[in-house]
Amino acid sequence: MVLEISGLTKCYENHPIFQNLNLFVEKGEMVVLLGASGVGKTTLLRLIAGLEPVDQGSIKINGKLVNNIPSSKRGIGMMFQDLGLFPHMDVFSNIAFGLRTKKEMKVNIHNRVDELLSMLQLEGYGNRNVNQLSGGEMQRVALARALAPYPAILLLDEPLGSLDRPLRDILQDQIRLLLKDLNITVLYVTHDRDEAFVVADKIAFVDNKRIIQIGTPMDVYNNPKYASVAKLLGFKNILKGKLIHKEDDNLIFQTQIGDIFVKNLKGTDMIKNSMDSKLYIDSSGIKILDIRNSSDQNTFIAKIRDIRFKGDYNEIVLKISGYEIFARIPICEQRSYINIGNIVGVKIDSKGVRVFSDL
Amino acid sequence: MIRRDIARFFIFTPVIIFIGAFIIYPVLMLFFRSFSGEFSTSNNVIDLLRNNNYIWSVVWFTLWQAFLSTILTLIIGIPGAYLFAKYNFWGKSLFRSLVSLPFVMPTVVIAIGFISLFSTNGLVDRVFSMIGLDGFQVNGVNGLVFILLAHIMFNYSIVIRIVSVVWENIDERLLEVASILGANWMDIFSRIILPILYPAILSAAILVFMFSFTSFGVVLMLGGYEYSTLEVLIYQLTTKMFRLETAAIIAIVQILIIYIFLYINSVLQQKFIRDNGLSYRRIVKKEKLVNSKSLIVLFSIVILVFVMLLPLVALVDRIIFISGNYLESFINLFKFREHSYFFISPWLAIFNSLKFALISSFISVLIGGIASYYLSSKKKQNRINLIDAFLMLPLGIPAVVLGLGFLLAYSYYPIDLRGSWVVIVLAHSIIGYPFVIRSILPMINNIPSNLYNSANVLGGSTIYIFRTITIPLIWRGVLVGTIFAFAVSIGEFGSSLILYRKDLVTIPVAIYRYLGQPGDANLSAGLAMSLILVSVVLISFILIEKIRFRGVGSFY
Repeated sequence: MVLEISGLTKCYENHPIFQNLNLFVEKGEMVVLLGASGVGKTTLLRLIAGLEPVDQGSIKINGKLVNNIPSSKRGIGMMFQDLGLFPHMDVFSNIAFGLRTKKEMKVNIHNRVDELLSMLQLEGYGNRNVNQLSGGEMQRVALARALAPYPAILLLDEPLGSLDRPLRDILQDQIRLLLKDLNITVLYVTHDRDEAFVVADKIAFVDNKRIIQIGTPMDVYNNPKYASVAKLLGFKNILKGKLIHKEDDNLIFQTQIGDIFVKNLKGTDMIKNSMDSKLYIDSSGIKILDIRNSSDQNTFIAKIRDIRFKGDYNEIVLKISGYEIFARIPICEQRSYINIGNIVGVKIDSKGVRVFSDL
Repeated sequence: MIRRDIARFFIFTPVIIFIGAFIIYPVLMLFFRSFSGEFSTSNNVIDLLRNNNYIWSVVWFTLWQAFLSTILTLIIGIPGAYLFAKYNFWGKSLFRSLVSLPFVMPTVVIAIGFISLFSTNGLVDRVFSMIGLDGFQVNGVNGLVFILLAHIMFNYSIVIRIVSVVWENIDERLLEVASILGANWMDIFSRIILPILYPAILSAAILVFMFSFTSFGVVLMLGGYEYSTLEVLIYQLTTKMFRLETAAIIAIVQILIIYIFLYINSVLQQKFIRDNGLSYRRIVKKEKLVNSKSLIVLFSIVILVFVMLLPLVALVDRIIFISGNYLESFINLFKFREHSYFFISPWLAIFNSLKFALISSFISVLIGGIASYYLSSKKKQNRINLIDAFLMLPLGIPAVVLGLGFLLAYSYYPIDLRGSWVVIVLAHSIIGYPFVIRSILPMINNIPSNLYNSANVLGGSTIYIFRTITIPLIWRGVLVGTIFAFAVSIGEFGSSLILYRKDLVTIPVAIYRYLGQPGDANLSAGLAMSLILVSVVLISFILIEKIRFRGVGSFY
């Protein structure tokens, strides 16, 4: 275990940011911290880096307690969103900084920097002034600088946050491959789901002052434990619901769009009558029917607000009782009555419904 | 558009005439005279410089005392800059004003403060005997120590202002990155902070060096017979030995040295701007100063309070000590022996000083205001920069040299201004107007051009726009510039002394004269006059600090 965080608590002005947070990262693992802005993802990295003092709990790196070790002695690498390249040094000196503080031999420094420059496709950039680099080049220099002293763990705080989309897509692929080749342990902060999917071995969700779920991208996508996790994963159609009837496996939830019947739902044992909960409706589990033949269970009257082309499917924006629901209709299932402004019937497949216990 | 350019140039003409007549022409006269007159043989300059060991010893002293002053000011100033850059503490803005106070103080007053501080029965002497160190010979302290202390006091604020601005803007992120990469505080200081501060420190050092290099009042009054700078030498050659040509040669040499330094400074400033060009959000952090055990902080505060204020305290203390109370000293001053040959009327000095200050600050504002308006043009930046540098010429011409230039230029038919108050007023205006430009120009430049564009689109005439937009937005700058010019004139010593006639005496010159004469009555008169001077400058200074916006009117 490279990083072990147990029972971590951190307060700012008596206001807790983390309470009893636990996180474990194995050697060579790339863990992405995904969370809404303001939940303290960056603060967690700063605590690990030793830039902020820990209030309670322990942080161990390679089995060694580092709570009271200054950041300069923790042997970690960190890359900030705003990079913090040293403006008065050229590319070479920026990358060599961490090696020079360790009083490495000149030859070793040269070899290591050259190695990193070629690894990050920055050959010939050594003498460049950092002011003259493009955004992507700056990013790579900052990464090289963090990697240079062979850190035990690499902390990346929104490393691509300031770049535009196409460049991000290219760089996130490159970073993933590079760091995997180096077999380096990484903790990577982002708020972008797609980036997390590309980069992560595991995704850890930060919410409510702790890590609420951690798992492989597929794992968490198929089985989000909380509505907030589902939201971070980009799930739409999350409704507030209240259980109003429970009989064996048959449940009836009262929601903003009306009553929804659910059958054979896993993990609903702890849901009690009249308890508030959240329901997720899978957008591919929604069928749009002609208004004339729609009187079934789980069928609602809706108005089509918009139809958005998404490649191999259309996203239909439906308005049910003033609430927006999104349906995913494959292009081949296009019907003549699916037009903007039409009143249609909407059938929700109860197999596509999931219930979360958090609020 | 073209019509407006012509109008702009037309308005600028008086400035050109003024500078041509009262700066360029006198300096040309210096050149002319230094290559003619009784030294008309072709190699006179070389002869003079080759055969006169005294001149070389003065050049040598001027250089090394300036060097030493610079080093000492930096050693003391950099921790102070750290204090101002990184901490918030009670009374910070007051302290900031206090450190700048000596900079605007007339050199005569600083000199007299040091004399009071270390003289027999002075503050230091009495404190030492109180704690049983009677044997300490305060009078034995070398004049050089006074000179260096005065230069430190005078220039401390330059280091603080220039260095602390850069220091407080160093991105906290850089220090965090360095720390994570294994740098301890020594590494961080020597490899991150110092290299980033370096251009600012160098720039401050050059200014300090320049001010110490051209130091006049302090050296004249504290240096005794032993120590003399080029400025003092020029003054003595002119007024005591009537060797105008020799003085002119030295003045030219001095101006050249100064411009070399000014040039290096401007090059550094350019580099400095480039180096900090990396544009991203900076994170700057300030800590509250509570029970800080940091030695640097303590050191800075001690320096602030003692070095900066002690001479002024000593001045007041001395007056009380000599005359028992303030009042008596003032009464002494004004019921002075009028029959004495050496009598200098305090009333005349005060009257003259006020008159000169009023007229010269008016001229300074006129010249500086017009120049600022011209310099604010957004077009042809290169030319504007050149004109800006040209307008700042007086900053590189020491007051004594300027006075000498006036003597050479305007003592002969058809324009003989010898003994006329006009020369002193002109000299003061020249010394004052760069301060006016530095007060007004930033304010004009801060007016967003969109404002003018909107006003134009809305159909305002040029005069209407000037009256309703420009004036309300710059009046503070104009006022600050006026007060600056007024204070500079009131405290001006070098040119007033070299152009001195008995009926043209000003307060600083009177103080110098009083101190040059024996007797307690003269001393206490000098002290009392100093107090008046300090009060006037202090009030001006407080007004300036109250009126000006942040960063406006800071000329260095």
